[in-house]
Amino acid sequence: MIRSFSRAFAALTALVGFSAATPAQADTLKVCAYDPAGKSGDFFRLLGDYALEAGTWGVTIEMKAYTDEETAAKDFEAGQCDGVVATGVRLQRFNNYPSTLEAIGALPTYSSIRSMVKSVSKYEGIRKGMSKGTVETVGIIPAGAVYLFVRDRSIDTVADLAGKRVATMDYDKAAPYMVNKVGGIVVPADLGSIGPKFNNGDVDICYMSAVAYGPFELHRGLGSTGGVIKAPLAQATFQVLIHKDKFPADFGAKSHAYWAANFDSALSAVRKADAQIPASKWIDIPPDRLAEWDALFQDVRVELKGKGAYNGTMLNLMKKTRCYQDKARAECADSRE
Amino acid sequence: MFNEALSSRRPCPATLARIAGIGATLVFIGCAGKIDKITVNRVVARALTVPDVDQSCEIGATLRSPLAAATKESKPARKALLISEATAAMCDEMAAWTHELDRAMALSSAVGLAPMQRALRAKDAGYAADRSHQRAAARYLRAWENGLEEFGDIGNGDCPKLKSHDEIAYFVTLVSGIQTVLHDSNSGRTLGVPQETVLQVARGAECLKGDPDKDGTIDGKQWWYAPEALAAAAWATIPGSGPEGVDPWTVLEEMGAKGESSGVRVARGLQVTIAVNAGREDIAQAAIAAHAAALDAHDQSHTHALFDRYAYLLSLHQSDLMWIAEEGYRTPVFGQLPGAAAAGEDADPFGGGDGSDPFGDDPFGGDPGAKAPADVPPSDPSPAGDGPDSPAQEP
Repeated sequence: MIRSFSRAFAALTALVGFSAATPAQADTLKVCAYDPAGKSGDFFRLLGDYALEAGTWGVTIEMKAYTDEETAAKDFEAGQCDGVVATGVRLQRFNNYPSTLEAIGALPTYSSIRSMVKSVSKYEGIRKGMSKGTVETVGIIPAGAVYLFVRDRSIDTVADLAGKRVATMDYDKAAPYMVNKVGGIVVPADLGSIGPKFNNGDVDICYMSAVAYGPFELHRGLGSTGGVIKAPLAQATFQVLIHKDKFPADFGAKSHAYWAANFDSALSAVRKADAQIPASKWIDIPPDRLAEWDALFQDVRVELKGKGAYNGTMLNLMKKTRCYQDKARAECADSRE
Repeated sequence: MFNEALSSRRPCPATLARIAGIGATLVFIGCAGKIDKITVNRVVARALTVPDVDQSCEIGATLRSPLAAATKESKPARKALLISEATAAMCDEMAAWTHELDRAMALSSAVGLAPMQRALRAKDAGYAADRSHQRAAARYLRAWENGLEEFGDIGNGDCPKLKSHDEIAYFVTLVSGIQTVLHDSNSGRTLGVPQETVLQVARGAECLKGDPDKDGTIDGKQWWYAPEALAAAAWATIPGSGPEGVDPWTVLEEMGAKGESSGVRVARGLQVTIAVNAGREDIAQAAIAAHAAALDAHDQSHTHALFDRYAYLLSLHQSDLMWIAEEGYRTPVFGQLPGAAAAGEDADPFGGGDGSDPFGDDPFGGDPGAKAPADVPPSDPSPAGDGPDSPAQEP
């Protein structure tokens, strides 16, 4: 009788202990997910599969679609959502370590961002920085390389940017800094106005990922004289950010592993968008001029690290990745990042 | 149809009608213009009066190949073909809805499946929905492309000169343009339909607006304000694509309300669909309630009953998804929203919702065996037919 009671007590204790370790298992957790195309968008679709997979880990997630990114972020801040999915730059205010993945020129190829996403999944030491205060970034999803769209395709050097009107997102700290540095004119814009401003000729240059090319009809702004500079300004990402206390402690590791394993399926949507830009519109930059752009990007990164916009540890990790993939890069000999 | 083709004063020289098989398959060979005219003026005009989407979609699917075979490949009956493709797509659309409901059922916490079972069932239903969406997208795309051949590069340039019997084909083309993008997106972009197609539709919808009224107003009243709603749907889908200072959600609401009394509530169905896609459940729920109220308040159009029925099914599908997610079953009464019953007519009028007894321990005078007074409301006043087993009301 006593032994039986002890067993029952032990079982109950274990059950209580298990429940305490996984506070959210019984509840449906709401994740406010931004996709500019809403529920029918490519990224929302990926998130639906992710939510199903999370169910097999014992975490029930309901994805709520948002077409306005800032509203999603604010609802997360207000505690109306247990998690949020938005671009890294939008989530910068919560933790600049993961958002620095989108630093200017830091990840010049899809191979380099793939390497970073897999490293985040593989190394707990890298994942540590994903957690800050009560929140944790638990997923990095590629949203496409960001390119400079120019109305005049003769603009292909850093010096050419001087005096040009550049549409910059009003919540982005890095781009206005770079535009000012090269003597360009910052024209504030948001997602709703950046396309019309470019197409109407209110600005000479804008920066977007190729995903926006079709929906924003950027071919109108390019006309017969414009082009797209084939040197990624940055890698846009969607990031999954959660309130830590709502999810099990090991959720972050499982989630990062999921996104690392599914990186290529996420990238396929991005590659389709890249392929929509006609070959004749791409502006290839010769290696010597590319080095000039790289130098500018590095200067901006180092200066913005000093201002606290970029995270130094993440910059260093990305530099290691760049130099691992291409040891001939000039920056590999210095220690600025 | 047969008689009309033969008795026409200017018969197509090569027109030949053949009746074959028990189903009396009718095939015209030769004149595309004649086939277009008969299809639009007779077949479509008659079909529109019957509020039966299943029947129309089956006719569209069946007639597509005979219509294509009836003319030279170089000069097809494009208006007939595009209408046939678009109505056929509705079969796939409804199949996709069924699979989406299955997926929602698997995911519903009210159903409470075990995690692995939940994931497997939802995935399977999701993949089935993808396939149906892909077929719908392909058919709507063919309808759109036939429309582009017939009417020119819609939305990029001047409006085509539309004769009165052309307008219905033009309208179906516009709807197909929006639908092919939405279904392709829902299939995982398997066809790669350009998203900017919706902006072409938005601009092309301007061409359906009628001549100025006495007060100079130019609007889409003749088309139940669907042209304005189509444009606003596109603007709501792509940020910054609409006119400066115009809120697409306000336009969708205005057009939904204006179209109600016409008996063709296409603008409402569109509003609900777009709002749900954008995650605006608040707008969708209000629009569903308004749609239901309009069905009660205004008779269905006799001439365009099919469109009204289709619009109702659009709204009903979104309502069903909401109900299944929350309650585990489909809409019991269209217009009623999940959760609203508890807060509304089924709420406890005496405020004892927290489990307490507002009348104290002994509300009726100390006799535990005494019957409740006659003026106490019955505990469950739901009339027969309002329960979850009964289908949503037909319009």
